[in-house]
Amino acid sequence: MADALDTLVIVQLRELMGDEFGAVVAAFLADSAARMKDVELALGHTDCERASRAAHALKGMCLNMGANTLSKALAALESAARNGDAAALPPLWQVVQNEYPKARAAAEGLVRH
Amino acid sequence: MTVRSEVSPDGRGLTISVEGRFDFSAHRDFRESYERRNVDPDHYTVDLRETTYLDSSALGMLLLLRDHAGGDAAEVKIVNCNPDVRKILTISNFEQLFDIC
Amino acid sequence: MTNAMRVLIADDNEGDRMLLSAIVRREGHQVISAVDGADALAKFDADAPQIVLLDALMPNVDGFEAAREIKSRTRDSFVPIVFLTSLTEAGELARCLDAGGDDFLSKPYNPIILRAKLAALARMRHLHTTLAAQRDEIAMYNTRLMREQDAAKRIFDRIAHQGCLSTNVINYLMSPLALFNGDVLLAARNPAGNMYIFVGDFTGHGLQASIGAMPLAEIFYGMTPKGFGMCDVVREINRKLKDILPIGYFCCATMIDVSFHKGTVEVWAGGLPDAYLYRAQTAKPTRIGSRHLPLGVVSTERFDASTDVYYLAPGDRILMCTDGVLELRNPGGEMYGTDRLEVLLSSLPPGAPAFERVKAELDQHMGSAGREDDITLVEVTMHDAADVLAPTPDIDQGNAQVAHDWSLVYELKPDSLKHSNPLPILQNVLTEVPALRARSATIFTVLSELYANALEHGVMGLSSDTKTSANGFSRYYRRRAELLDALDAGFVRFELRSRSDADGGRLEIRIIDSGAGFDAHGAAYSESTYHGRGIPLVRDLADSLVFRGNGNDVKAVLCWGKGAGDG
Repeated sequence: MADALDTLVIVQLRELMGDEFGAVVAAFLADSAARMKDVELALGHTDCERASRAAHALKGMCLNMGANTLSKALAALESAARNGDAAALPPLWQVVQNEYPKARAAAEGLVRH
Repeated sequence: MTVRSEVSPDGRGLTISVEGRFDFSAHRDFRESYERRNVDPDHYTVDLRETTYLDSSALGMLLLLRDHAGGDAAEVKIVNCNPDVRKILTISNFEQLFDIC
Repeated sequence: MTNAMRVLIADDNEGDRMLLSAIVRREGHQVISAVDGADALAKFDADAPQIVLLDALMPNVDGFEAAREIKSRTRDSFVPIVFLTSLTEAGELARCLDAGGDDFLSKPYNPIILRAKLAALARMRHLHTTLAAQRDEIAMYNTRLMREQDAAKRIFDRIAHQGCLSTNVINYLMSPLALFNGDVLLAARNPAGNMYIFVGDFTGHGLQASIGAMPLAEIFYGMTPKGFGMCDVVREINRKLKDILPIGYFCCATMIDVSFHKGTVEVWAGGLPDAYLYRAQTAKPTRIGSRHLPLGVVSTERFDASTDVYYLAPGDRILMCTDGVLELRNPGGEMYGTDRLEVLLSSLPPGAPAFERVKAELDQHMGSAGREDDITLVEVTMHDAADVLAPTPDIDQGNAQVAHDWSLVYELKPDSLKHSNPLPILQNVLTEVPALRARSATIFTVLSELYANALEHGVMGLSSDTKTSANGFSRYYRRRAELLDALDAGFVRFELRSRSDADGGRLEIRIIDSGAGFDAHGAAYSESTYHGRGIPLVRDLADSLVFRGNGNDVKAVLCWGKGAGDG
């Protein structure tokens, strides 16, 4: 099973942030949760525009965290939403929902020590 | 505009030809054609057969050549002038300083 | 390592902000954070960052909007904008650059790449600042240069244009190509009332061509009112120009001496295009060609001051121009040329002036084409002496009524006869006397005509018979020059006596020469011939004119008021 978070990215992040590493991860945890809710709400209203934007923002955060699989899924979701392809959205959202907890759990693990 | 120069076989004469417009743009080439030589000619010839146009800066260049060649003692010939070029030399009375054919 | 800069980071995501800030701070820069576009603009105004990192998609004024706004606020300086983006499509990335972005940085952020980009952008900033500073310096230098040229031009104009160009005799057009004119046009009256006119064309144009005009004008305006002959003036101008101009630089010129009393025009022409003489009575113009080398070319020893003299009736005209006129090109590249000018002059009705017609034709010919040279065109019309506005005498009547009584003897022997001109000196002495100053024109004319007579006919024995045609004049003057050069005996003596009191005064001018005399009463005074016009003129001007001895002793008397004392 591939790591939810790219090890190399994390190592560089740790090295770069030093004492602030924990704060960055905490920020990720808080922001990503909020964004997930945004996407969910938007999809509930079939608001493709909002869904696309929220997915985009979340995708960026994930990239910086090294959550590559998750960010790929979000990219797909974002693209479909931007194209207004409402039918394609539910399955793509499902993938995101599957991947998010993994990434989240991995991030939480980084700050527990 | 092209400036060419040629030394006579006996090394005593230098011929300078000017092709095209003999104007300010010819200044450096014309000067170099007689200054940068290791020969010391007795007489000079300026061949204007291919010269299409001559203006007052060209007259100035001819005066500089004459001065280089010895001033009042210089032997400078100007040859093969077309009517327009001839006219300009005549108005300036340059035949009083140069041998014009 | 780039110098520390102030970097504005705008991203609505806290985690991303923190990450980027850490990277940028690590590079030694100072970070200013903003949470959205509006905040970014506010912080931009407040903190003046040198580089801006903008997230493309933000709420509350997105990155594109903010970028456009920032660019519009920094028109004169250069603040690079880097878009932070996880956009991957080329179209989206291009949109960033279109919005004013100078670069973009993709997520995940790579510190190495960011460092390289910051360095590159800092170099661009530096380049921009340097260029802007150089541009400002050039602009300031240019302004200063224009101001200096303007001031120089004003001084120049005052020296070069003190003369009498605006009279009823001269019509002229001067059209310089640039601020400084390489052409010169001067006019002044000599003490006899003759008008000297000088038209010149220095090699090249602009400031370096016109600078020679200053000493030239000084000589012209200095010598002419003192009574020097035109040949003396032109010889002195040549000497000066030969002295100061580098080899290869010269002044093509024509100078004329117009005598309204005698109806003659004496011409010295060196290097300018043909002048044209056209008469009120006949249609065909006469070409007056240049016989001499331009001024400033030969040394004084080789300089030829010989002139040609033409007889003009009132209404006859001379047209002179510099080569800018003939070489004026139309939009098709064709020059105006002498043929066109001669056709125009030949087509004039007799007595009509050419000036306005030539001017109009030149304008029409040029059309929309640009000019390439200075243009000068002058038309001089012969008038009766009475119609020409007299030169204003030096009004200083303050001491006019003061009594004076003096006499002066001045004798010239061959060396002085050959090399010096006594007229300006004597004229100067005489016009020191206020009462005589008001009559300086008359005095000068009397002096110069009688002196010419004494020297040429008396001492040198020249006969005025040769002066019967235009060609004859030049032969006469050539012969005169030869004889003068060979002179080794003879003299001319001036005896001047001037007396005045409160009621008036008299001036006696007596000139004695060593010649064999001449027939002062003979047929030489016929009005219809060219020669001998000098003596009748003096007879008209003076109150009395008496020839004694064998004609080599002449006394002219000028009186005013009640005429003091005896004869």
